[in-house]
Amino acid sequence: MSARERFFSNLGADKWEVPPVEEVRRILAIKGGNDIPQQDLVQLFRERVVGAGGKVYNCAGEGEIPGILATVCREHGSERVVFADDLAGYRQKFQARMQSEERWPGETKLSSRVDRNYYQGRTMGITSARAAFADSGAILALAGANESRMVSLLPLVHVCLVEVHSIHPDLDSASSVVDDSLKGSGASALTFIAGPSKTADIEKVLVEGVHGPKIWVVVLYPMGN
Amino acid sequence: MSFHVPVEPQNLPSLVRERLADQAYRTNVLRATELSLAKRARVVTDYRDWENMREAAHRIKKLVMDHLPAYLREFESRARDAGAEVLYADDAVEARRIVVDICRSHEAHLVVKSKSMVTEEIHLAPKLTAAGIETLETDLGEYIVQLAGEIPSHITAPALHKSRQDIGRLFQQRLGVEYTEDPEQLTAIARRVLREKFLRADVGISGVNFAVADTGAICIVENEGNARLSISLPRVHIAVMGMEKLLPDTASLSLFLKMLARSATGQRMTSYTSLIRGPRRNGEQDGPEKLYIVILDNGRARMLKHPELREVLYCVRCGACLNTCPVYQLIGGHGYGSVYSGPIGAVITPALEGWAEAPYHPFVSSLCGACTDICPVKIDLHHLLLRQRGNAVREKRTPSLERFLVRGWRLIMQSPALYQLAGRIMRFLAPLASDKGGNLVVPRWSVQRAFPSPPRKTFKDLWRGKEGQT
Repeated sequence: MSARERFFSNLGADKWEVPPVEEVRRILAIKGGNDIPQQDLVQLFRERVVGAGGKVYNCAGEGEIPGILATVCREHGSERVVFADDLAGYRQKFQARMQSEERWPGETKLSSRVDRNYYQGRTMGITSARAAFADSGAILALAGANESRMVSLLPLVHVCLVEVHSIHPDLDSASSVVDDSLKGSGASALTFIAGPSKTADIEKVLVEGVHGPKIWVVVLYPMGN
Repeated sequence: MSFHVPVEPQNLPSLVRERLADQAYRTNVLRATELSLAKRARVVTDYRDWENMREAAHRIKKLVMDHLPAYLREFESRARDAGAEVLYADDAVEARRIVVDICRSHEAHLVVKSKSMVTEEIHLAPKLTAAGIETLETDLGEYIVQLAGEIPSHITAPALHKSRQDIGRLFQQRLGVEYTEDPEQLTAIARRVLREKFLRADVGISGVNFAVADTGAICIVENEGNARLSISLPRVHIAVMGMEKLLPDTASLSLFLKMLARSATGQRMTSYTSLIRGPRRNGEQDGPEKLYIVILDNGRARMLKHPELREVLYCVRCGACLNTCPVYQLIGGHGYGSVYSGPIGAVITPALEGWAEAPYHPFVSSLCGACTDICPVKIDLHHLLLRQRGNAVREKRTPSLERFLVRGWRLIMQSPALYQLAGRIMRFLAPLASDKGGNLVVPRWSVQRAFPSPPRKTFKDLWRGKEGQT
C-alpha cells in the first residue's frame, strides 16, 4: 500500500463527492453581507490603509503620478528605484523628472533587470495593484511575468499604485478576481498587502521594517475633488 | 534569564509551579495577552454580524470535516495540475523523513523556515539540524526562541514571555553584538542577520494557514514578510500542513481571513496574506522551481473519527483562546510543557501525544468558558475539556486514590441514609483534622484550596429547629 493509500484508508475514505457549491453558498449566506455603502468605499479604504500603518497620496490623474513618486523618493532618500515591468512608462517619466529637477544620485531599473542583492540600501519598489479592498485596506499584488515578487518585498519603501475603480468593499465581493488571477495561465503567487512589514514580537512593541518594507505608500488615482 | 524548555507534557504539574513562581514571566504573559484582547475587541465590532460569521465559519468547517477525503482529493488534484507535488505523512516521523529526504535530494545546506505550529508539532527544525542541514527560524519571535533553545510559548507570539532585556542579553551572547534593549535596534539586528541567510538559502519551509480545495492554492498569513521571503527566494519550497486546513473555495477563505487576523492579533488583515498555487511558471521572474506540499495526519484521522473530539479540527490556530484563558494568563505556554498550549492545547495534546504523555492537560482549566465565547469557529472548548477529563478518568490517568474517593462519593450521594451517616461521621471527625482556620487538612487537596469543615448543625437540623419556633 502506498503512503497515500494508507493515509486515505486511515480517514475511512470512500466514494464521497465534494458537496455542491450551493451548499457552501447557503452556509456563507448566514454571515450576512457587508454594510459598506458604495460612495464610502474610497474614504474607508484610505482610513484602513492608514490604520494598517500605510500612507496615502491622492492623484487627480495618471499624469501626476511621476511627481508624487518623486516626492516619496526624496522624502525617504531612496537611491535606487525599481519599477515593476508593467510600469515601464512611469519609469521613463519619473527618471526624466528626477534628472531635470535636480541632481539625483540614484538610478531606476525595471524589476526584470536586477538581482536580489540590488535591493540592499535605500531602495524603493513601485508596483500596481490588481485590486484593492476597502474593509481591510489591503491591495492585491500579482507577481509574475510583469513583476518580480521582490519589488514589493525587499526594498525599504514600497509604493503601490491603486486605481480607485479597482477598490472592492471586501474580498467576498471579489473572490472571482482572485480565482481568475490564480487559475489557468495566471500567476503562481499573489499577495494581499495591508501595511509595512511589521512585528510586535518584542514586548508587543510595534516595529516596522522587520524583513520587508519599513514604509508602505498607496497612491490613489484618479482622485477628483 | 533563559531556561531550557523541553517538550515534556507529562511534567505539567511541576512546570505549572515553576511558571507560577516566576513573577517576571507572568508579568510578560499578562501584558501581552491583555493587549491582544484589547486590540481584538476594537476590530470585531467592524461587523454587525460577528456572531453569524462565527456560526458560518463553524458550519463551513463542519462541512469540510464531513467530506474531508473528497476535499483532500480535490485539493490534491488541483495542486498537482499547477505543478505542486503532494505528499502524505501518517505521523511526525514520516513527515520529518519526507522533508529531510527532499532537502537531501536538492543538496540543501541551508533551510529558512517561517512560523508554523505544525512544524513545531513534528519537531522538524531540530531534526533537520541533526541531519546536518542548517535550519533557521526566520519569524522574529521564533528566531529568538530558537536562539534561546526554547519552544514557543504562544501560537502567534512565540516569545511573548521574554522581556526586551532578556532578548538584548540573548542577542549579545549568541550573536556577539553590543547589548541593546531597544526593540527597533534588536529587530534591525535580526533583519541584517536573516536577510543574508534568505539570500543564500536552498530550501524554504512554511506552514499553511488555509488550503483551498477548488483552486489547489495554499494560503500563508503573516506580518513580517519572512514567509514571503522563505517561499520566494530559495529554489525549493516545502509547505507542511495538517490535513484539517482545507476550505472549499475562495469565498469561504474570504470569511476565514476576516476572522483570523482579527482574532489573532486584532488586525483587520495582516500585512501579508499570500496565496500560492504551484511553483514558478514559465516566464515568471521569481519563485521556487519546486513546490512540495506535505499533508500530515499525526493523530488527526483519529480525532476525525471521534464523535466528540472532531470539532477541535475546526481550529484555525488564532490563539484567541490562549489570550482570554485565566489559566494561560497565569502560567503562559510553557506551563503546559507541550507545543500546543492554552485551552486548545489542553484538549488536543492528549489526543496528539497520547494519555501517557499528557495525563494532566484537561485539568489545567477553570472551565469558565471564556475560550468557547471567543473562538472564531465556535469550538465548544470548555465542554471538550470536561469530556477529556472524563476520558482521562476512563483511561485511569487520574490518581487511584482520587478515583476511589469519587466512587465512594457517588455511592453516598445516591443514598440519603448513607449521606446522613457519612455526614455524622464527618462532623464527629472534623475537629480532629482541622487547622487553625477551621478548614480540614486533606492531603494534596488542601495544598491548593480550602476544604471547609462541616458545620456542627446540618441544614435539616436548622430547619427542624425553625419549625419548632413557629
